Amino acid sequence: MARRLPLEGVRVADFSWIIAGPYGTYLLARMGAEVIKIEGLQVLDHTRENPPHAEGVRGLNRSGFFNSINAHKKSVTFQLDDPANAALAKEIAATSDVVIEAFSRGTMERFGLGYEDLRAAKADLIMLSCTGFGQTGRDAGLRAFMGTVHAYTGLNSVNGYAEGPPKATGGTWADYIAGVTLVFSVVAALRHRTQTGCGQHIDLSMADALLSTMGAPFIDYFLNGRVATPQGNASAYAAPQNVYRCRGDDAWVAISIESDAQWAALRNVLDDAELAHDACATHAGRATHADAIDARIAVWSRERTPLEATEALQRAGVPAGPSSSAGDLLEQPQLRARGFFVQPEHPEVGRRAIPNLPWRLASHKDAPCAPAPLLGQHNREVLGGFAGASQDAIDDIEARRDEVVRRFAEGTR
Amino acid sequence: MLDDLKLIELGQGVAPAFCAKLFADLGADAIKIEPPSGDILRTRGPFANNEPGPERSGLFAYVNTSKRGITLDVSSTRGRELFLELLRDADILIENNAPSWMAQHGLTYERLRKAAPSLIMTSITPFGQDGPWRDYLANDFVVQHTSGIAYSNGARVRDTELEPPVVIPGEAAEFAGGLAAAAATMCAVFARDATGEGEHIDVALQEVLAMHLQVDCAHVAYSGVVPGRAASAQPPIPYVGQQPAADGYIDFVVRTEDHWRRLLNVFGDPEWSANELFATMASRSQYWDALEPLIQQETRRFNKEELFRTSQAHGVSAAAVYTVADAAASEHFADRGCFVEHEHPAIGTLRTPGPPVRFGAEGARIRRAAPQVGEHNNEVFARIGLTQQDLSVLREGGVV
Repeated sequence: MARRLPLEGVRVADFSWIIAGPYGTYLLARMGAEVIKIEGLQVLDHTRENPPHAEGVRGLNRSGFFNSINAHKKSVTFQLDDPANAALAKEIAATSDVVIEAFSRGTMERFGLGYEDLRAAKADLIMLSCTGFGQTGRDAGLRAFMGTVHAYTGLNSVNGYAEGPPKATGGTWADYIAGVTLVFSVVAALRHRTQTGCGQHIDLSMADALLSTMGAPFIDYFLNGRVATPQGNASAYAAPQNVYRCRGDDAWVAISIESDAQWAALRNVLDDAELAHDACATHAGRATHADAIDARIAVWSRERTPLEATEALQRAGVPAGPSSSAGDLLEQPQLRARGFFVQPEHPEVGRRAIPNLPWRLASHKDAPCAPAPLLGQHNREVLGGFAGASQDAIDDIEARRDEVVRRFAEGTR
Repeated sequence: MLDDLKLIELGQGVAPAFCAKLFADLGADAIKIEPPSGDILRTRGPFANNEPGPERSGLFAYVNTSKRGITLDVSSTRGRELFLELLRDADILIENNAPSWMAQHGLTYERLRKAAPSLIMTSITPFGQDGPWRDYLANDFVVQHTSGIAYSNGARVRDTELEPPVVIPGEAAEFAGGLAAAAATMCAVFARDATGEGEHIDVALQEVLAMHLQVDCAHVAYSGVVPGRAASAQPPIPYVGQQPAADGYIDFVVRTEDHWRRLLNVFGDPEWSANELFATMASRSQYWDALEPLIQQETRRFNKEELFRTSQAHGVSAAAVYTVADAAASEHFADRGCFVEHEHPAIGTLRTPGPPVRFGAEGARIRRAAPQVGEHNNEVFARIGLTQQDLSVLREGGVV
């Protein structure tokens, strides 16, 4: 018999939106939880509205980012500021094991969906609130997006090029750190509930989660009073370490030498008499002459594509790899071999590649991945099912959803 | 919360250590196995008073709290036997060795589950347990580049030749990978509670980071366009972003017309704000090169903290770009216990970041300082019946 996914049988009522919460609940869904995305029609999830839309055509079901991080979930729509709708949402929450929300502090309470409200309906509920700065503390009320958290925690101040200004951190860094922390804490709480019968309210602050990953700069400050500044691609423990220009548009190979043996291997590949100098024999010497060494490596790398350079270097035992764009990732031999991209069939935009998972379970190398839901796709199934809504209520919710979809396509929303 | 779990860590550096710390700070019984020469992280700073020494690395001390530590050369025959004995009693093994090294020493999941049938084994590697790159050599720096996070972090630059793809500092890949490994491991533990079945979790650091490229990958899959790094090649600059203040920098996230009007309010509705060229998000993007200097004229009039607080009071998502010293002094972080102290035998009072999340039930706390090299050899090896005499023989043989 096929193994069950780890979280099969766990139901999650997901009120979260934008990035951090939805990334966390995407991971819960892919680990087997039934995730019901509760989409407020009063303010739609921004990512439904934001580009990229398939072929540039506006549409609430056509956003590539939304369709990536909301795959494998169900969607139910509510007008949460309408008390009758909020009561139905509460019914879903009260029949779930976990409630996730990521509104500003106090918003769920305004809808009558705060932790105390919900706990009265389900005593052992696990609820997680994800915000920029948490539920307590002087700045808990700050308006915050991910960029705000990157700035406030000091991450941007240590990010960027040597001697340059601070740099806005790339990717969706703090959002995804928080999303993964969400999974860790919710599953730990589920386990705690199994053992004690008790639920709990988890306070997930993106800033707290991010700080916990920033050991080196803070500890250096606390121990030595050093206020870190951007160092670009350099490291105190590797030399040479940099990216080197390759053949192709904005093409680079990354190389990092941490030992004398790796240096010897690199010299073998480059076969460059100038690098035989005694001054380069030790890490300290290589660090001192890093600029000159970098120039020699670049002479070699310019003749090669990043993948050609990588193969030659790795064959010799040199830590190296291509510096990749998103386009490169889709073509990378390693990611392709591992099936890192999946292509669920979406009813409106068809098959599109989305990144699969940040880890793989040996028991489920091909964990199923359903497409992201259309807005309100599961209204009838969920509301008419365990939520026990009347036919009239369901028809009304469907009509409201249709109106929002129509107005967005027209551009009047 | 995790008092009933027994965990063994067989790895080096930040990722496996941070993963195991997240369990150990929540009460799991965690044993860290180091080679007799000590974990490589002991040779990396920051060090107390900048003086290197195996017991002086603040980073090692941070990511190894609440664990017991032993030394064991698992690559020796006797060492491997002892490792299997210790494993018999464990629920979780966290490791970050090369797949070829593990195979060479008979430490594959298939072999280990014979010693511990319901073992959860979490393997953290740069590129994963299979595929053509599985034995490629890489560190934090290399995987940040191969995964695309360095490309994304090096975006919106003026000159792509002078400003190449650039890594996020502080062993960011290792920390993110350790965190992902902990989340995956927790899922497997939850499943095992119900079924008794173990698991092998394959965490590739490259893939943990490549997930962060979801939005960029969506651009490729939905519009066929690979977002370039040049500021000029980027989609509109709608968010205003980082701007100079009189004494540093401030960051704004302006996502809607409402946010924009509020920001103009902060600036006292300067004359140019009525200019029709700046009336919509689209036109502001189009005329950004003309608009940005005007915005900077305003932002430079303020100190960063003053502008941060005023902007927030007007409902704008803004924050001063804090230095590490600023963030360390934040009253908010003090209120929430975001930095915590513990006593370390060689370092003294050590201040570190606190736990990543606040549970409603009893949460994470530092239960003991990071182990010194081989500190718990006597205690832990006694669990599998070794005497003092056995240990001195092993010590002479270089096994512990």
